[in-house]
Amino acid sequence: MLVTCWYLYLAARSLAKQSLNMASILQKLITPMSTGPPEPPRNKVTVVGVGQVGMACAISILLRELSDELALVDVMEDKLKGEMMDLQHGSLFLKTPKIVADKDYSVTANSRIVVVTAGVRQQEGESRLNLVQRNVNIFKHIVPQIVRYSPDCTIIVVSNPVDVLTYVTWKLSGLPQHRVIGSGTNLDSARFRFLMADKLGIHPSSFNGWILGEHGDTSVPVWSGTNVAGVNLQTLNPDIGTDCDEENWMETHKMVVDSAYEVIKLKGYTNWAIGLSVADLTESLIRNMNRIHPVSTMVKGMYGISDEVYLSLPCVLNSGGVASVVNMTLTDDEVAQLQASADTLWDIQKDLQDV
Amino acid sequence: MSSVLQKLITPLASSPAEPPRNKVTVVGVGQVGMACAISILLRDLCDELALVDVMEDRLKGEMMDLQHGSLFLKTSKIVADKDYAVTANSRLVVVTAGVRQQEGESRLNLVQRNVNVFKAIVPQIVKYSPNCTIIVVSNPVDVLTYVTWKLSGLPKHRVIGSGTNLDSARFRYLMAERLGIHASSFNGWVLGEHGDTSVPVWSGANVAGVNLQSLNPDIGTDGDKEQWTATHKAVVDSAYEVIKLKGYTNWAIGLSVADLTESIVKNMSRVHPVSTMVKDMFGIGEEVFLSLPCVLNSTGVSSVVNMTLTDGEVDQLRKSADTLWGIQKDLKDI
Repeated sequence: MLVTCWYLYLAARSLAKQSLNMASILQKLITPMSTGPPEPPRNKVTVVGVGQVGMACAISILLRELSDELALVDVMEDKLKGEMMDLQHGSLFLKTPKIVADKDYSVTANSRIVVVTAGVRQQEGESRLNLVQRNVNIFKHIVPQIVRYSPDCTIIVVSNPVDVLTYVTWKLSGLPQHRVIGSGTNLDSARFRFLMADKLGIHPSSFNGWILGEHGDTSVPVWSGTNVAGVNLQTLNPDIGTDCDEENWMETHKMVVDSAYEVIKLKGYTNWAIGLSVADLTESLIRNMNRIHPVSTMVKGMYGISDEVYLSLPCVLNSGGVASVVNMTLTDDEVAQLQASADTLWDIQKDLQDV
Repeated sequence: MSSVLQKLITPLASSPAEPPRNKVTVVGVGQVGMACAISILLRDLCDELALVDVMEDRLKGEMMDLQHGSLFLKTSKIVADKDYAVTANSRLVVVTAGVRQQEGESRLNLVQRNVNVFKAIVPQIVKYSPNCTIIVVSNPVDVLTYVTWKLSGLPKHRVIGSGTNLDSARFRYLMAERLGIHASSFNGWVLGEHGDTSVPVWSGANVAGVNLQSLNPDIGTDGDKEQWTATHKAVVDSAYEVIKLKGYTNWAIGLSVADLTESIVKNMSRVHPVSTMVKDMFGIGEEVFLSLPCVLNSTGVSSVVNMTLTDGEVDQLRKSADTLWGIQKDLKDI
């Protein structure tokens, strides 16, 4: 009897010892302090589409430390998971502690900003407008899901043709117009400023110039506003931007329009510049900066445009989305070009099915 | 008929343009090379970036795409050419050129094809940047770092392999995830071969100085109930898994190369696990490159930290060295 008790005691002691050693490293190392559920994210960004453009947007946003959570969505599940893992493996070098991905949009819930890059892209020589109906069909699946899980978000549309698709997104989302932005001519203007500045031997950020209107072949370079340190270039050369300009400055705008085609011809697609430009817009929105960017917004009622089209104008961006639009002083000819862009775009939009 | 430029701007400095002080060259504009490039650009690490590749159209397209983003960057000169003259006066040259692993293929399989590519590349690099530091990324990185060192004639402290900097980053991320903390708050080192035989130094793993092995003496062994070795296995499998899912890996390696670049260009003397010449350390008798904790600054590898390793860990390092030497001794014409 005594022996049995003794063995029972030994067994109990061994069990107790084991269960003490059974405490995991996590339990021994770390004592929890706050018991509530984890805080929701404050600056969550979702990128829809993990192609070259989507991932360039993602890495630019991550390296600029703009978000505390990044969500990726796509239909190609393996590629999506691979991209998520590859970014997560870089976590040591980043300050975005949560990177998630799923084909189910619930993963995007509570996003402040949703960047839409999904859809088909231009083949060599193809114009952006050619992509439209295929991309509208894709957007019909995507946009309602986005809004369902992030009803207060601002959407940045990147997929081409961006102006038409921003209109489509606005219609499909039911969001107020100031919450739906097209990346528009933010990139064209960046390219313009780079090319112009290069000719003058200065940094692009020191060259002020705006390209408005359609992100595409009919974009409008506002020559009347181009300046360096406030010195207006048109005052120095009244022929600037015209065919009779001896210095042929309009060639630079032509290069901007041709840029995408050229890069696509050389490397198959473009991604770095658009990714950087989207991160730039994201920064203004998330940091509530009230910076002015040329982005695609609803322009009905401006410049004599009577249709519901999206075109790029200088917009003040902050955490509310498009807070306001700057009333650009344009020449009659520039207004005419904007109206022509609007007509081209409305021509396409009116034929779209079920928007 | 003075031009807009002449009317607008009056030159002041009449001397030639200043040479770059922090020029970085990336050789190879594939997914890894471009991920390195964009990470370096977004971290504002260089004042000039040069790209080199043999595929001329692709190269020009990548250069243009980066240049178009200049408004958003602080690197004012981005150039590219298949001729290495464009790389002249680089402080740092990142080599990502060569063939990459196909699905299921081990890194060691790539070796002879990449040696041949390197014979064309390395002498050109050194010709135009005789004082540079070279970071080798192409796989199998440890063997190719040895090859680069031999072909370049540079002193050994100037040739670094990206090595287990990435494995350690993955390790720290995966371990930290299990503990609910950020990767930078988990200290752990993976050394040796960047590949299947990498060595997780469990004896050093700690959080806030609390040694994990003291909390769990079985850590890293097969008898460990918590199965911590599974985390190291996940690190080894990482690349294969990502390649299977998306065809290649690029973001994590790009970020890790930018991390090394920062230490070198900013003369920081931070310690990183990178591939360096380890002959005469840990009883290794051959000229092999393996990852050890190295102090990196503008001279390159200024010193190596003498890691305290268990006998088992030293054994694993030696085995890595043997595996690598087994391959290196058969290489032709280095």
